[in-house]
Amino acid sequence: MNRDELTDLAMRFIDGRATDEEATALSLELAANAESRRSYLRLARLHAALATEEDQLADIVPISTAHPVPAGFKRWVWAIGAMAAVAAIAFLFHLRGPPASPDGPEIVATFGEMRDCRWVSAGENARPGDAVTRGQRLQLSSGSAVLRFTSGAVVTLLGPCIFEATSGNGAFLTLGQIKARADTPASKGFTVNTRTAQVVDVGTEFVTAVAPDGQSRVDVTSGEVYVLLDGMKSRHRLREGEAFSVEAGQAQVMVRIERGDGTAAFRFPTIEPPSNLDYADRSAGHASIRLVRGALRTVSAIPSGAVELLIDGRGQSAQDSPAESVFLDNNAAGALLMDLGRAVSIAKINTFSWHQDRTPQNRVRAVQKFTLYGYDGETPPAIDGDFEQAGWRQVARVNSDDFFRVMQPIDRPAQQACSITAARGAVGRYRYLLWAVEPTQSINPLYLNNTFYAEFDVYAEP
Amino acid sequence: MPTPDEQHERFMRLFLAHEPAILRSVLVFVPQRHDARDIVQETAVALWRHFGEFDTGRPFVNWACGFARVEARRFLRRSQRRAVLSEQAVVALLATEQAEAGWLAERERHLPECREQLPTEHRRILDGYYVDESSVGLLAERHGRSAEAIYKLLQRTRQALVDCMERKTAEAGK
Repeated sequence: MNRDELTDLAMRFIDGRATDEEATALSLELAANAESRRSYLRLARLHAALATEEDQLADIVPISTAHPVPAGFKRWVWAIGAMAAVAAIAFLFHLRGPPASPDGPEIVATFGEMRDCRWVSAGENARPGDAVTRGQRLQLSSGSAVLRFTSGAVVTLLGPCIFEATSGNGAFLTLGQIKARADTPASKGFTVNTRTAQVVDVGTEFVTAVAPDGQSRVDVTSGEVYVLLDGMKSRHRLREGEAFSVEAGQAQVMVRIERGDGTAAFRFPTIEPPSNLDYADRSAGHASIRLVRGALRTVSAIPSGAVELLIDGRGQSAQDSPAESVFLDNNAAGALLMDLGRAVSIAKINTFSWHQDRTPQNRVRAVQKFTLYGYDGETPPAIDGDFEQAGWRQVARVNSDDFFRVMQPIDRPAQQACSITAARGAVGRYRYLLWAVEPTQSINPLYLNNTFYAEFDVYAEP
Repeated sequence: MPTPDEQHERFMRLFLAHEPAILRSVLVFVPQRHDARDIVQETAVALWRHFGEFDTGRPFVNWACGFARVEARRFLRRSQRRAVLSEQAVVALLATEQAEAGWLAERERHLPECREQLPTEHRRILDGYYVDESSVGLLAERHGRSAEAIYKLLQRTRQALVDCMERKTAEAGK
């Protein structure tokens, strides 16, 4: 292959125009010929630099520092380091040209109020009133910034976050947290996509967040939204006060948390009450549960009930009923191990909690905060170190305070249900389930920090 | 010992600061931006899971790009499409890129200057293609030319940038 042929083929490949046969021919050439590899790297690295050029200043660095760096390069790094921010902005502006030339990109939003904003790239130093164009990527390191979309939707970015305005009525959230309000007729249907979910606003306000490991979370402040999961046709409706998260991964494990009616009937909007019809119920004789890390609170005059209460098919009969609840030592973490007797296909796991002190705002012991792990072998892995390293598979993470966006203690529901299901088939096939439970975190030093768990229901099939 | 929240924030800041460099390292082997961004997402998951092992004495970007290369190769192995680079080609390219990292970076520092020297219309079309991510068809419509003519112009423009960077590197070395 001569140089011109290689250049033509490499460009076609880079632009996604190469056929299967051409890609194979290019691969063979690159594997065999060092000079062809150099030529390809020149073009491909140019393509990569142009495709990410808004951050040119930040980090054109060699891929490895194990090799000698030319003196010129070192000088350049020093020079960049010494550049004033103003020069950097001017340079970037020069590099990119004006953001919205007549035949340039479509303006889809404008910046509104900003608070203590620090942007990752100097070129993003926007001011209120500046335009945001379609596809523009915003990387906020800290602070908050309001975006007003042309549809009327208003989004607040809460740093740190990576966000992209994809249209006048839609956006993509890569990382971090945003708050969205879509209360104008034109903004109905405002959509935020994440890697695992699509949130469609139908006239409301919601908060959505994406964690670094891909977990997406949505909670609805007012009105309602639909959540559509990647690759799934069915949609999940969330109403005011409800929240939902989905883990990255093939099963797309979902966590739904709801507030109860605060009665012994344990009524929730969509989650069924504590049940004795689940696979793990004590009456079925399949499952057992025990505490394998930490200790129950027993020193007090009103100690925790026995761990087996968690599979007795019932919730508590009152809002502050220690004998019917399972709770750990104050401020202590712990782990509860359930043995289902054999590996079973788990469709759903529901957990319930209920606690309210005499003072109505003390509901901290209703918070559900745990990570759930599973294992399908005969003998459970170690529980004295890092669970994942020991062989446990993380199934879901739950922190109901995050879900209810608790700012004040009174915001927190006294009765809570958490339902873990999967968008695709089963949550997983496991014999053992392990709840790594964390203590609650009250801001009042007089309050105890341990959740009053009522019931764990596991719906499964052999 | 940082709390989980502090650790999370520290990770986010580092990742945000270096995400473009990570994306750039992936685009060399997986040039389609949509695929490359998916790989960077997978990389973020892997980085977060291993963040406890990150040696703060080393540059985050090098550590992260190592993970990105693993994820890119995993993507290529799993890819249903056949128009991707083979494993052998990627391994050979990685070795060449590592061996010539300093020289490649030295060339690329001339990119802004070379870009400035492009005719205005060429620069606009390049911006349309890369910054706005407009298709060749859309650019053809906007500029009143055929798609074929626009694509040829794009090819020529990139080749001109490569040649310019080469020339300026050689001049700087004299």
